[in-house]
Amino acid sequence: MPNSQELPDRTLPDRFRPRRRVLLIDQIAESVITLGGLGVIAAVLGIIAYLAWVVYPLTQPGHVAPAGSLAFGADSSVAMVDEYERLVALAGSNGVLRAVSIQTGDVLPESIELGEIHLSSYSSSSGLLVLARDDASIDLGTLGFESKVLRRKDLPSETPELAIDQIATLPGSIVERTGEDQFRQVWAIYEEAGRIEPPESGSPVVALDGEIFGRDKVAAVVRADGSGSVMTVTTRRSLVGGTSSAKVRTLPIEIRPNTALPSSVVLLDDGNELVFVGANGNADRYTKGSAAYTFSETTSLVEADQNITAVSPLLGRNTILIGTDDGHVLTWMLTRADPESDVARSLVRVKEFRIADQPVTRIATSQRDRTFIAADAAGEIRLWHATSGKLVGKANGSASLKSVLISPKLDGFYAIGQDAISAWDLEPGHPTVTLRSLFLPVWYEGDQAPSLVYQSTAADDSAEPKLSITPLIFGTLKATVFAMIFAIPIAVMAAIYSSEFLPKRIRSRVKPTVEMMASLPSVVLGFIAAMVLAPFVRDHLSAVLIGLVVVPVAILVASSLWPMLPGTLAWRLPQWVQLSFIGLACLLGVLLSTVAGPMADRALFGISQDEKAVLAGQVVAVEQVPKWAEGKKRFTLSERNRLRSSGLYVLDDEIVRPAADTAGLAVPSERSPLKVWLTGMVGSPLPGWVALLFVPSLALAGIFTMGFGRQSAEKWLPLARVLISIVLAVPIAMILARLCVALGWDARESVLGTFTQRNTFVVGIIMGFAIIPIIFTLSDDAMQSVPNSLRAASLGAGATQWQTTMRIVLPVAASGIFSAVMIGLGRAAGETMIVLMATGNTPVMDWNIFGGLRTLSANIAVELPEADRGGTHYRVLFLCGAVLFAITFVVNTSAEVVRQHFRKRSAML
Amino acid sequence: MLKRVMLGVAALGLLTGTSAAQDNANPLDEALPNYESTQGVTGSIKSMGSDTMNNIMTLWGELFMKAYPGVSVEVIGKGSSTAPPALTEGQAQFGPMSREMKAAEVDRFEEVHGYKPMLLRTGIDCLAVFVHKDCPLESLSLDQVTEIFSVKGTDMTWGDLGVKDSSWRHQPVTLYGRNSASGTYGYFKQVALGGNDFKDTVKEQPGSSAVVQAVATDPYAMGYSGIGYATQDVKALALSEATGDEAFSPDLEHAYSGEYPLARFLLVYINNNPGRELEPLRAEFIKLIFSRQGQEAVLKDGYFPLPASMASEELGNVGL
Repeated sequence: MPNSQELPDRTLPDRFRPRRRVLLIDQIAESVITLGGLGVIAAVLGIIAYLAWVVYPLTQPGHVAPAGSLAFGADSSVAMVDEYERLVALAGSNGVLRAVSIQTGDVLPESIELGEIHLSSYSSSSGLLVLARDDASIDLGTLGFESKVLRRKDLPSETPELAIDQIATLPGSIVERTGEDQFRQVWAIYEEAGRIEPPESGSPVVALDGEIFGRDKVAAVVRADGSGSVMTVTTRRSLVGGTSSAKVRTLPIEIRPNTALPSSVVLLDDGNELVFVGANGNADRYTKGSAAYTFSETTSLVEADQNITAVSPLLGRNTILIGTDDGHVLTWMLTRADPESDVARSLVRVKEFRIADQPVTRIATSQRDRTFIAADAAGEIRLWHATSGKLVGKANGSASLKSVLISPKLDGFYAIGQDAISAWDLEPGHPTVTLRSLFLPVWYEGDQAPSLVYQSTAADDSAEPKLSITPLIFGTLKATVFAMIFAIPIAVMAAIYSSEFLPKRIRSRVKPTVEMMASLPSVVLGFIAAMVLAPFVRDHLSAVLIGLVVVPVAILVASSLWPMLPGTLAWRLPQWVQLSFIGLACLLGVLLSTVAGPMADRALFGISQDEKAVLAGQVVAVEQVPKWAEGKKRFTLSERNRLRSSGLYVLDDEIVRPAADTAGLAVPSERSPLKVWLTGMVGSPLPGWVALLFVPSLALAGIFTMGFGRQSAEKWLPLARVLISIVLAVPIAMILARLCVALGWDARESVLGTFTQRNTFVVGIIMGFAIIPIIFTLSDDAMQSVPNSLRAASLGAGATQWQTTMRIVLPVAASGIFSAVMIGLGRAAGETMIVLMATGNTPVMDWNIFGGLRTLSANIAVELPEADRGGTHYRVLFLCGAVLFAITFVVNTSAEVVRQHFRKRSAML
Repeated sequence: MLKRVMLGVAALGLLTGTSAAQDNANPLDEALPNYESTQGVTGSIKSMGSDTMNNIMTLWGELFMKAYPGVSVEVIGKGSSTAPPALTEGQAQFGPMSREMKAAEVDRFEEVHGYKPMLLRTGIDCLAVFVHKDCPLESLSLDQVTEIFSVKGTDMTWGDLGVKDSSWRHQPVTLYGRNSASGTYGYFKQVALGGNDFKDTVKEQPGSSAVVQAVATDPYAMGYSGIGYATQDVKALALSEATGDEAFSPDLEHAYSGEYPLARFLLVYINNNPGRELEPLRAEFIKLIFSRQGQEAVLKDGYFPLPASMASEELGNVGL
């Protein structure tokens, strides 16, 4: 009871001393409030800690722990491990596949005979084994492990009694009693799938590769006599009847004459491409045609002083890993042809990894993702993720490794030596992402250059997840910026009006009404945006756009007309009449917009007869193409503009001229030429700039005319100012627009672009509506809290109400208005349902107001229910949450800091 | 993996296509067993998974509750990726999915239970490409679909697709699709787009019905979703494998024959311990799915029923 002790003055009469009950309540209230406050702080800190705890593992490398070694090894040309990491199977050149139990070290009594191996290729991801025999024939088969959970009664008869976690070695298989008290049998299996008879020449095989693409088993073979062929075995297997049929096709490879034989060949891109890697470091690419594989390009894979020591394709077969004798692993990737910029597909070097100075001797890849393992001559082992560049793990094995292996589930890896196998346990963590890859451009397979892409795929493991959150941050900013552009002027000006000009009686009704708007659930607003506003804007785009200018101007005109009422009528009429008059003007403005919209649309963006002809396909080819455009197929917007200035157009990748006689052409007129203009196919950039710059020009003209007739009190002056501003704005906009065009800018490359129905414009309007109430209310409160004595002093000194508002009230209330805007901004940044429903959630990175976007919050809402708990995608979504939290936290905190700062200043008033 | 399922559908056509073609009036296989309720079925069933299969699971649930008034069935359909964790953690007994489980999801299940989850093929869906009902376009090839939806092609207008109508010719094609975590998105990317990335201008909608609704309100739109979500305001395009081939509409006949290129199975995953019998509750539900009534519900929901031979094979796989 410290408080009661602090009241020592017993001299006070009893009636002045607080009663015991009051003191008690006071104390309880104080502790509850303190507890509540601390609770809020703890909750916020807790959220931050939780987000950090979920996100943190993304930044961590994998964890590697040695798991012992086995005295078993071979000169292995084929090595594999099963998915439970119970068996390792090795085959040497004698073609005997022996399996050993990793846990017990027992070699399985029965082995699989593959037949003598001259040369082999084994794909661990698909299990296709291609074997070249000494007689130059080739065998195709699938090799892998199978497993089955058995009931006790179905166990093989020779199985001994097993304790939990005990493993029995049987002929050809092992049986394990698992921790869940189930019996699991694991065995290796080989099935023949096809055969290529030796050619008449009997020329031995020098290089081969094989892989399964969909239902095709593909094997590529190069022989010593310089011939080569690709065999495809297509199997159709019925799931119902269990029948299967195989179709075999063989295509020759038209190997360039006078080239050295390749040391290895690699099939890429579903077998459509074949790369010959030569001992000299050169790669020749052959592309599949209808009758043969033909030569496409040759590239030098390594520097002049480097030699290739290991070659391996990455999962998905779009990338080749090249090991060099100076300790590097290079990734060479096959890019897609780019239809936009007319670039053909090619092999490009993407990344470089370095172990040490020793030659890289072995490379193997994961079956799960783009992780690979590389070992050098000194036995150093590294695991990297090829796309993100993350170091997943490292270990030190013995020198002279025969092969390295990653377990099927990417939870362990093996180094196989001449007479021992070393094993490591691996927790890969999140190899596909690094902090760098989350925020900076990443070079993905097939792309021409690094890019920022968000595409969290769910199809299968060979598809790469692309998790850059930069487009989402961009989308959040874009939605926020456009919503603020719409909301700030309306909300702040409405607040000024309601606080300073509106009679108290009306204000007391208007304010709660606006605040009611805030209680509209955002999902309802989103629904309205998607189902009502978006189709409406699509159908009446020009009217809506021009309405944004016409309606405010109509209000300006109406309010400047009002003082021109005869005599003192303007002062005597009740205020609601003036309000209704302005409301009427608004309505007139809307009506005018519906008429003027389409008219302005046609006048500004109207399609000329020539352009109509081009759109209708009435064109003639052009013989004399400008020199810079020769041979080009794809044209950027500025290049099209350049062509158009000489009367040329681009249609279907061809430069054309409109047909000479187009007068009688029946070309249907577009309902909205604006939308055609927005696509960039026709039209000069000028009208777009005029439309965009009209509002700023109007404001500029308004400032010019403000000083006009300042000393005079004529009633017609305000109207004259407005009208003169409008008239002045037109030439100003024209001049500015011409300037922009002269500079070679086209708005269609930035804030304008192809119109889509679900777009940022719609989001801006509806989200603006969602945040207007909060900005309005807070700004209004801020101005209301300005002491009336200040207003009275200003008015008493002869200032008008407007001057008082602008020079006294606004500066004092500025901090409050600023924080209102910032709080609105924070709300807009975190808004979910509106953007989710009203945009297409397209993670694009452009400022096109008629294009889409995807925000952080919508991304979380859409994808979290489907994310694999604890997985990379799940954690990236939490990172989105953390970033969003950071954005709103910074915005709100800075709002509060500014407010506090100014509050101190205004408190001195 | 997905291709294998497709292949299954194609092969299925070889066996059943003829019989289906003969009797278009009643596509339900006569040989499907009638479902008869038994005694001793109590408890509650929870299903969690695919949005595509939400309605069909609900229909089965209603049938089941009618047969066993004491049983409650709860169906949650937020997306295929919700099924594996729910099955793994025992939150649901049934996991409907519009794609096959990914290896990592199977791993997590196996880590907990020691065996792999079991896959039931419960019906056939045609993933359809929808356009507005007034759109003059009738058919596309998969190559065109790839160019329209994936980064392999440029931005397209309807004129590029061969539409001559003047009000469509110069309009860009607006693209709608499912959100990137859905099974339908993954399947479409894998099979229809040949594994190429989606264009970033494909508007991602939170559910199949949202895609159809968006296409219904936007005359220049194109979108994809399961055929079961088709409404009168949209039109499902006929598709061909390659340009120049014959295009087939997404109907029962062409789904069975495998000629419609985007036919796939409706999958339901269950936690089936190979060492134990299924308890009566789940066993009866599975029997119901593969009965005449269950397959009738598949048909009622706009998807295509299984032939009796496949239904009995699936039942055999779970030992029923």
